[in-house]
Amino acid sequence: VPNNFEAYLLDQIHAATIVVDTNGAVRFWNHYAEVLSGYSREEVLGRKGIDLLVPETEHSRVREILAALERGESWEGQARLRRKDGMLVEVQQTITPLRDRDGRIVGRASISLDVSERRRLERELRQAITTLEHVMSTSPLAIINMDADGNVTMWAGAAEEMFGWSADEVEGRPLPTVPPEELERFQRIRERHRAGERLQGVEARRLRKDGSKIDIAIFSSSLFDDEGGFAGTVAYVADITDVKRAQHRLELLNEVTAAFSRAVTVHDVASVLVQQGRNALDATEAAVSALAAHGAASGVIAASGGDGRIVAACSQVATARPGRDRARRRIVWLDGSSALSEPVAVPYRDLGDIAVVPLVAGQRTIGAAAFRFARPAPLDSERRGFLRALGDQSALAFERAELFERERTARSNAERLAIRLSQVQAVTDAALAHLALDDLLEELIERVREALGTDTATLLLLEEGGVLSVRASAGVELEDVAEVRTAVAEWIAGRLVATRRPLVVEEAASGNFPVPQLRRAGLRSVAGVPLLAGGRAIGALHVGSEQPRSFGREDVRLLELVADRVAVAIENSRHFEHERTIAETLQRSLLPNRLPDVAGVALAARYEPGGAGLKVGGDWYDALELPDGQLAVAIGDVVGHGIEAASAMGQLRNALRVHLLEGAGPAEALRGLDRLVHASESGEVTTLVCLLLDPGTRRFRYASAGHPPPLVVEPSGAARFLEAGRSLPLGASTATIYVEATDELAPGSTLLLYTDGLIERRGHSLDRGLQRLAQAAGVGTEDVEELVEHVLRELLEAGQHEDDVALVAVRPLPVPAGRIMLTLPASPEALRSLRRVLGRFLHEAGADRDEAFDVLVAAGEAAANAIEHAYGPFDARFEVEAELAGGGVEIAVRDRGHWRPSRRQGRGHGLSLMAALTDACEFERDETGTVVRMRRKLRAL
Amino acid sequence: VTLATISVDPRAPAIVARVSGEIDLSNAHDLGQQILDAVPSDAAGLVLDLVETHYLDSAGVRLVFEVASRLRDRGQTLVIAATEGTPVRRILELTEVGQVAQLHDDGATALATLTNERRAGLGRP
Repeated sequence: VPNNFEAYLLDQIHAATIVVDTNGAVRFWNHYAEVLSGYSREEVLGRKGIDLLVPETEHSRVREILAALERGESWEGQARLRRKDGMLVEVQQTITPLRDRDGRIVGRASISLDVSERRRLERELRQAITTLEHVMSTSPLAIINMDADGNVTMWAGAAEEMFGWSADEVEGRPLPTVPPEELERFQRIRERHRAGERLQGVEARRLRKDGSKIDIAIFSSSLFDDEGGFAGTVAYVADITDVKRAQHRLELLNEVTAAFSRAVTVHDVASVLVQQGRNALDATEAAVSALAAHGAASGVIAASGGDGRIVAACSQVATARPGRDRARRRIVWLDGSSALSEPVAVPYRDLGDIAVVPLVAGQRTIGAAAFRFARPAPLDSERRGFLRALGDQSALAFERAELFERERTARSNAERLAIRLSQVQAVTDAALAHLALDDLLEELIERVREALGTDTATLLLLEEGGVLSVRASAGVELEDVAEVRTAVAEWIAGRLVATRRPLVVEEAASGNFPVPQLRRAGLRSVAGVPLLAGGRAIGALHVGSEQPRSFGREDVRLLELVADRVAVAIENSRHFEHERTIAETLQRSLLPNRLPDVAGVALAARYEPGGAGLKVGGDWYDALELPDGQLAVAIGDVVGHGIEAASAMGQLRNALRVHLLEGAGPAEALRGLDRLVHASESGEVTTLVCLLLDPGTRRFRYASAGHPPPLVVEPSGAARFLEAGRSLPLGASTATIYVEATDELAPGSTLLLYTDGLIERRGHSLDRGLQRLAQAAGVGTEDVEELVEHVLRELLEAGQHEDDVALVAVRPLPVPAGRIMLTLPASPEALRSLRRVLGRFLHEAGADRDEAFDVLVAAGEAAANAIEHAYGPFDARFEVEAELAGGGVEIAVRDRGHWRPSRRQGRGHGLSLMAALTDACEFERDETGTVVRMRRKLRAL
Repeated sequence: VTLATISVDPRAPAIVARVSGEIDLSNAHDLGQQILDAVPSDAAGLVLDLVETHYLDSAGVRLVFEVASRLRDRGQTLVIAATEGTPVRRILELTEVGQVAQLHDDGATALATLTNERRAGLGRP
């Protein structure tokens, strides 16, 4: 137990000092113990301290402590004591065993310091720190403190998130965030810090740990120690990257807009869009695809960055949005991580986020732009706004560029047209020689359309009766609109013809004529001029465009120029067509309508007009049966072309007929024609072959006035040219002596007469031509029609002949031996045919002239009876059968009429002749008709 | 197609109509008309020259009889030229044309006959 002095001292200290004996009874209780516990010294002396002060919850711990003390060890630690008023007090306690001089433990002393207040302060501090830490950790700002040396002492708030480094990586070191290019500026900021300057939102660029850069704003103040020395800085840093980006984008948008306004071509616009748009959006890849006028994707017109995999998405969106709804302006956002929504159902998952912006100008979707973001870049409203602005600006720019391009194209086309006009002129002139009017107009109209770069071009002409009809057109034949366009074309032409002034509709947006019609026809702009010839409107020419475009004075002047050319061409062509038509008509009329129907002879003829233009030739042919039963065939070629040649040929043909009918032979006929040619005004030189054939005997006479030799083709294919009977052409000399030759056809042979157009080929000799003809004609054909077709096909490669060609084939038909059967019309003209065929039959049978004559007369009388008693006016026919039998010929003439032999005046001669000229003659009559049977012996049989 | 043509020689002392070609039902009537038209009413007669006629049947015979009949009505004479031995001559003989017209071998003889007859006729009182 302390003595008084010790007790006095112990009362002075601010620690509860308590001494207990080995029984735990209190022996000393200093003043502070009274203060701490609330118990006075008098109250506790002799009482057990543990009972007084230790709360029940601490009892087990106290037993451990007491055990330690009994082993002679001291204890020090924290404990809680219960005050007299029941409050618990936290104390720092030291308990030491007390020993006597012998070292025996006689008690223990405890010294307790009240630590409750400290604990409270500590708790409050901790709370404050927690709060601070919370504030700092949720702060959008980074809190960065540095010491005077520039080492980081605090890296808090949003610092880690903002820059990527953790506090551990940064604290105690210099700032890692300053990029090299900012170092100098950073040093200046440090100097300002040292000078005690507060920074309020100084902007800077800083590095992130991943190497990317962010924009920050710094708010800071300096720290100074007690002596006033610079101790460091406290800084709050805000990430203003997005703000800066938005600002930057606005600037970029302005730049892009400016660039768009400078962009001249569609491709300029597209490349501005992909390059500057990509930069502005910080996109990895960009692409633009444009739509063609009718909504089909015309493909990607520009791309930048990446490997083009978004191109497909771009095209798809562009084409998927042709509708008129508001949705077509919607930006399609393809979130790289989520499922894809319409309309792009293509897996672009791996690519990252993709934004596709439809480009819409007015009501028209003109394309789409796509931007791909490799780094996640959510479509916030700022970005969406930017995309839309970009889309709108570019759409406007595209439209402007298209217009500009069209105008420029039109202008350059106009320049080209100036050159082309000379070509048009050339074509026009050349066409006069060989293009028919319609071909010419089609050609011109296509060129006009090309030259002006319009979608349609139409030429209409006034027909008789004042009707305008489309004569040539380009671009109006589109399905769906053809009818409307034709109607509109006629309407506009009507206006042009009526006013005789040009008409220009720049933009068929609203208004009266002809806007509603144009819109139905899908046209926005038209320009047209009347076609004037001699001050008279003969038609109209106009062009139309599906897109709005302006037609300048140059365009109209150009149209007028073309219209002039067209008008001239039309007038010339009309004149030309007129003359050509006359010449052709003349020529056609001068050629036999059809070949004479000569019994027992097959005839075929062709006339092929020359290649083109006014080369209506002077080629002609003729065939006629002469009164004596001979067949006259002629073919000729008047030198020269056109109406004069055709009319000369007509004269010759008629003159030849007269000569031949008067009984002239071939040479004599040529002499007559030669005189005619020399006497005529024009005196055209003419080549001609004239040939007289007796179909019964197959003998023929012929004469040639300088004409290519006729060809004889035998059934075997053997061919020979008739080289005899040749003289000079008609009109060549007044002293020409015409000669003729006689020849005979083997049975089944064919005579071919032709004009030189058939055998003359540029670059080939005449001999080669003759050789080809002989070869071609050598094919055995049953039918002469086939033969001429074959020969023409073989010798005239399609469209290659410039000169016209005439060709005649003559083949006496073989007479069937022994028996013939004829069916003839019941008309007097049939008698002649009957005599021809029957005559040849009798000739072949060996009958002499008189016998043959008798039989022909007898048969003719029977036939005349049949004809006179024909049972009806239409299609009456009778049959004649002749047969060699019993050393003579038997003839039967059958008809469907019912008549009796009559002895009336005249008719009696017929009956008596039949009886007189035959050996037997009898009549049979039944319900089907009447048969006359006759028999006549022939000496040769 | 013309089967036969007629030529009339105006220089001859009498009318001579020469038919070349063929005469049948198809042309006989027309030919007869043309021949009669060629004979003025004051002519003494007509020489019908059939030397160049290659065919003639009952229609031709009828023509001859008709022409003869018309001429007789007008007091005129018909003389026919057709070469002896030719088929046409034979037809004329078979049908007894000789009853209405004299038959001669050629046109010149026929013409002379007509002229002489006329002279004889003139000499008649």
